[in-house]
Amino acid sequence: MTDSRDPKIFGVDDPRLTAFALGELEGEEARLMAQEIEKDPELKKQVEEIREVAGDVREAIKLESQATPHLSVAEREQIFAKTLDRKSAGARWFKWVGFAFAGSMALVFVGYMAMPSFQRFQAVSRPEPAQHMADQQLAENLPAAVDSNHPVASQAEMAKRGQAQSAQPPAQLLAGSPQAPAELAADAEGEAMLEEADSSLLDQSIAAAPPPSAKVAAPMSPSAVRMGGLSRAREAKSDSFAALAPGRGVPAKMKKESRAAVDVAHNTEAYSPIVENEFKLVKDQPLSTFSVDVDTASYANVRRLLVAGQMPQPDAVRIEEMVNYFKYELPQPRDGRPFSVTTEISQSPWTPQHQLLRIALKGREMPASARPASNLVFLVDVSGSMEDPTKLPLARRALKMLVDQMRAKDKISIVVYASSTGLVLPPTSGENKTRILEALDRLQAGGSTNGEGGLRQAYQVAEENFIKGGINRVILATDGDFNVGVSSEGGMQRLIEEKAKSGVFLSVLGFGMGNYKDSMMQTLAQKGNGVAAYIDSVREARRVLVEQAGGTLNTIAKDVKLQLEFNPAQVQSYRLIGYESRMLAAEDFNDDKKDAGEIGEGHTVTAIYEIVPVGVVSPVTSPQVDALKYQAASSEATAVSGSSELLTVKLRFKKPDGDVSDKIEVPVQKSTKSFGEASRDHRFAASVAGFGMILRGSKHHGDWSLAQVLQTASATSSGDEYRQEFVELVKRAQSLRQGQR
Amino acid sequence: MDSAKWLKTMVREHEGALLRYVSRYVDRATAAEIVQESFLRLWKEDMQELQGREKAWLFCVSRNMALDQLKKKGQLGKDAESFDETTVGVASAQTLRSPTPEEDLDRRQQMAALQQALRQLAPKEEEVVRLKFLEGFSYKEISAITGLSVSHVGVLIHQAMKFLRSSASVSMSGAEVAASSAAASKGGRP
Repeated sequence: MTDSRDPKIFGVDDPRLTAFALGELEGEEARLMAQEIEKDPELKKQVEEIREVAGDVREAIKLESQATPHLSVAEREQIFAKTLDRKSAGARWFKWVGFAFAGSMALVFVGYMAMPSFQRFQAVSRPEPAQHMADQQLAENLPAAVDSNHPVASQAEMAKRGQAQSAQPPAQLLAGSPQAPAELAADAEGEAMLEEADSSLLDQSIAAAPPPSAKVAAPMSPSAVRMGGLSRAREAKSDSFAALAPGRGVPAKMKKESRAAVDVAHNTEAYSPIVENEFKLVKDQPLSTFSVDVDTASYANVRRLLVAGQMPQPDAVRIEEMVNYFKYELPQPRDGRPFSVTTEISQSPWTPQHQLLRIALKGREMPASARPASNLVFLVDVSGSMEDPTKLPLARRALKMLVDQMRAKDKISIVVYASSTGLVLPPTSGENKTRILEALDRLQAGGSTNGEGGLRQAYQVAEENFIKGGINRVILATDGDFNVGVSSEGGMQRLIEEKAKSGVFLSVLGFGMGNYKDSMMQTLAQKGNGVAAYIDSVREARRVLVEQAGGTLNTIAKDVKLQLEFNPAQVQSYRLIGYESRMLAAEDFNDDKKDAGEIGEGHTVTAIYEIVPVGVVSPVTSPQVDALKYQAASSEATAVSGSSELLTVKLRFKKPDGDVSDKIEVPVQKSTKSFGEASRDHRFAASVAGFGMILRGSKHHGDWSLAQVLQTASATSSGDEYRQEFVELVKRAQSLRQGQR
Repeated sequence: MDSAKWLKTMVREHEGALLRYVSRYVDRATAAEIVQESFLRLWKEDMQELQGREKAWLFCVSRNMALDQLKKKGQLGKDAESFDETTVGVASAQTLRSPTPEEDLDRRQQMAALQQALRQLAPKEEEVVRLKFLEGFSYKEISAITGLSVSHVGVLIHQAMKFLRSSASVSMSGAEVAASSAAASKGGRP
């Protein structure tokens, strides 16, 4: 406000005059203003008058303050009681958020103030209004003698509190720990975080232990104990709800919902069960067909829940997404193929009569310099809901990581959408990083969400700058609150699909917790031939946008399908672990019109089968049906029974811009390898699958318990921080399980 | 200070003001719940990090929760970022207490006029005025709480003050009123 030097510009009706009078101006500005006012008696009079009125206003408003409302004693006590309950919810992680984001919080105050993510609060299943009122009255009718330090809580009060409490536990837990410990840490903090993890694990076991031990930490033990008990009971109930949920066929679309539901709250009943793949008899179903899936969101989800002190709901656990989260050492493809195929077979660790087959695909890696020129359009949601440190500030940081890797031949544009949309950065070469970074810094959240408008504009910019043979991609950064505007969700999907065909792909970066529309984000990314990543920390951003930038940006094969044909002379039955929502019909394999998953540069995809060889008496072999009366038993099996091949893996895929698929076939030979002799990756992947099965309450994990998972994972995790984090999670699950007993 | 003590202190110091603020926009039961939740969130924050800003932080958190509640009930548009006429009202009319008979007549008249004028402020103005003069927040803090820019807060308070000044001067001299209230009425007052 340098114009304050000019007395003519500075008049009576100037907000700065009011600001000055109220002591809101600082430093130089205040000094200059004071000078001006000293010179001008009219201004001086104004200031005095403002101050006088301010005093009166203050007084007038404060007259009401005699009637300042207060929380009732019981209401106040609820706050303190809940802190005990939430202690287990990893309150410390929450605090760490502040540190982790410190760097991105230049506008510290404003940004910090905007912290709350209210969707979560809303997501908390509130008591019904009537019920709530009753609770309230009950609370207010309590004897006022209840002292905050030594509550003599009545039976009724305790019951009431327990009730109120039980309505909320999951979201509290989630709210309490938006991030897993290690995840949270910006690099240097990693170790400290692990320490935190250990100590909090201790808290966990206290909190999760049977009621009596809760008093250890409790200034309010009676009600705390009671509450703990009740909320556990409630959890148990919802678990049994899950168990009761019928295991029938669920449309794939519905299954998608489960992820979103789990994000919101543990006891939300809006998820659909995953129906675990069963053992299939080779003579009935010699073919097993599915689409690849490079998503890893379920692992992040499971991690978050465990860190929050909760065993994940079985349907939150997608085993393939857990296994695929990790890096494996796999050979680079040869012969110009987009990916390599590796198979390994060993004895099954959990059912020794069985074998474990691992099929691993590895997308071609290339140095960043060899990557085709990119035409990237960042489509950034700057609506009001993004104003949370885990959203826009994190998105800004994440996108900056991407910008840092850009080269002169790459172009970046930024389109924002809120109430209206706008191109805030015209296509700018990777050479002018500063300009791009500055544009990102200027992004501010506010307004509503016209997602569709933004999407259209982003596509338009991408098309205008289309690079033939290059990477043309819109990268959407949003919290999932993607208002579809005037047209339907279906219309938007068609738009995305159409643009994907024309060569502009879409990737989706999700931010923030309580992501209601997570399933929609997944759908959009799938239609757009891109990845949907869920970014909840700087570390996850680095994983997705730096370590795996190639995979996120550069799709190298699309519609990748696998089909296994088992040899009935060698294999009695088989079971695919995970991929339940990715199963395809056998005839879809050769149908190029059937959409399937994409593989990006450097991506790995792992599938694990458990195999029952012929001649083995297995506890889990499918029940035999009666021999068919009107059909002769199939004789095909004998046709090639001489082969020592167990099976053949067939793959179909298309080039990113192709319409016709290629096919690869890889036969797999018999093996007598024990589990201990198998490769490190094989054993680690098995430990993750085993962990997933245990979390899912699968009946197929045989001899394995968390102890074996831990042992195997620990032995195969050195030198890999993500694997080490997994080991920590297993430990946490173990202590949670112990606490439950 | 450990976090339990800190929380206790915070509750003691701010619970009343917070409840008063939130109760203006939602019913008492919801307000109490919002206040409880705000303190729980505060407790999860870093004590040092927030030092000196606790009250503003609490107001910001509560305000957003209240907005969300109103949106949920359909009393505010999906995209609303501040309270409007339909959401303020019941509470605000009740909370202003009339001056007591002990106070001298002139003063009482003046206060009554001011209170009357306060009720006529646009919801946004009233909110920032209350944050400023009742809760003692600075422009910066108000900006952080409401999401308005600091200069916007300045303009709102300036406008409100002009209107309030004109009302206050009614009892003294009617001369200035016409001019200032004409300017003030541009602020979209009823």
